[in-house]
Amino acid sequence: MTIRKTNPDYLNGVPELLILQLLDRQPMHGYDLVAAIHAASGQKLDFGEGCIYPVLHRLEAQKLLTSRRETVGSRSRIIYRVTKPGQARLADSRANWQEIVAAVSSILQGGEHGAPALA
Amino acid sequence: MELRPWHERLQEALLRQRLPRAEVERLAEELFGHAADLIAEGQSMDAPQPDLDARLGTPAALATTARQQFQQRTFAGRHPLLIFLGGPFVALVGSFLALAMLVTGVALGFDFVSGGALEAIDADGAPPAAWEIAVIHSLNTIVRFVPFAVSAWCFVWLGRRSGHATLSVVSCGIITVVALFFSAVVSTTADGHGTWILGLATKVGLDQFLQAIMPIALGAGMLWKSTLRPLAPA
Repeated sequence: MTIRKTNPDYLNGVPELLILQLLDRQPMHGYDLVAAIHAASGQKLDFGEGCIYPVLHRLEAQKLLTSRRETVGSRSRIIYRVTKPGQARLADSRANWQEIVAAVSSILQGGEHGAPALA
Repeated sequence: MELRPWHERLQEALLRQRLPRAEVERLAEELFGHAADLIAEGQSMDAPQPDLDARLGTPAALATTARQQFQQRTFAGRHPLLIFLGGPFVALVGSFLALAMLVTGVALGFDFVSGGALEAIDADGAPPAAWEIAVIHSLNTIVRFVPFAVSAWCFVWLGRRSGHATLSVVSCGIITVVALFFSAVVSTTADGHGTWILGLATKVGLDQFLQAIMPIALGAGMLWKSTLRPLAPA
């Protein structure tokens, strides 16, 4: 299944988690970050690539990321890094996400109350 | 592939969202670089030219996302109705209280430093001197204008910072209405004593219009910048 959406609603929560996770591994600029999301998700997450930049700017304004202009090749790039508060947010978001995944999986696999009762 | 028309459409869409100039320029620069990378990637792989709207998002969608993300940066941006509709009342009460505390603090401080000079003035029960009346009139002027001006300025600043310029105009409107009905009058009686009455006016006069000038001016300025000002290229 390919999830394709440029709708801004899609940008709540999950992209922030992915961005923090990938930038925590390695500082990157926007283009590399998008490529990393595509690669890490096995091309399953396909979105309007430009939407990554407003999210990056918000995370930077919230002090979860820092940015620095660097020359890569012949081009001036803005490289993003995760800050300490960003790492703390990442840990929280990751824990929340894992709880949600566990809860949904439990329901889908027909847990204790998962199977609907028939009269 | 010519990138400029796409870049111009993007800048226009971002400007239409009334984002701060620095944010527009940075987004446009990064997206331009991203588009150039996509084209270079296509050329190196001998692939057809990428559809930038499909890959990056249309300029309109990108501008909408940019505005939403900009608004998510601040508490005021995430809770605009609470801040811009409820906030003016809290700000006005807060600014009046802060002013009262400041004046009381200064008076108590002066009394302490002067060895009880203010207490001695009140002790004899004599009518106030000219300088005392002048001080009260000055305080009255400050009370009539400063809380409204400061509150309106705060909401204009918050509006710019949170990307809710239009709502900050509404806040200025609320402050203007309160200013139009606020009355602060100093009057002297026949025996030379005076009264200072603060409250709500039953009819709106010239004094009230003067009090409302600053919030009206700040609100009008914000309205001009947020919706009426012509768009200029970044």
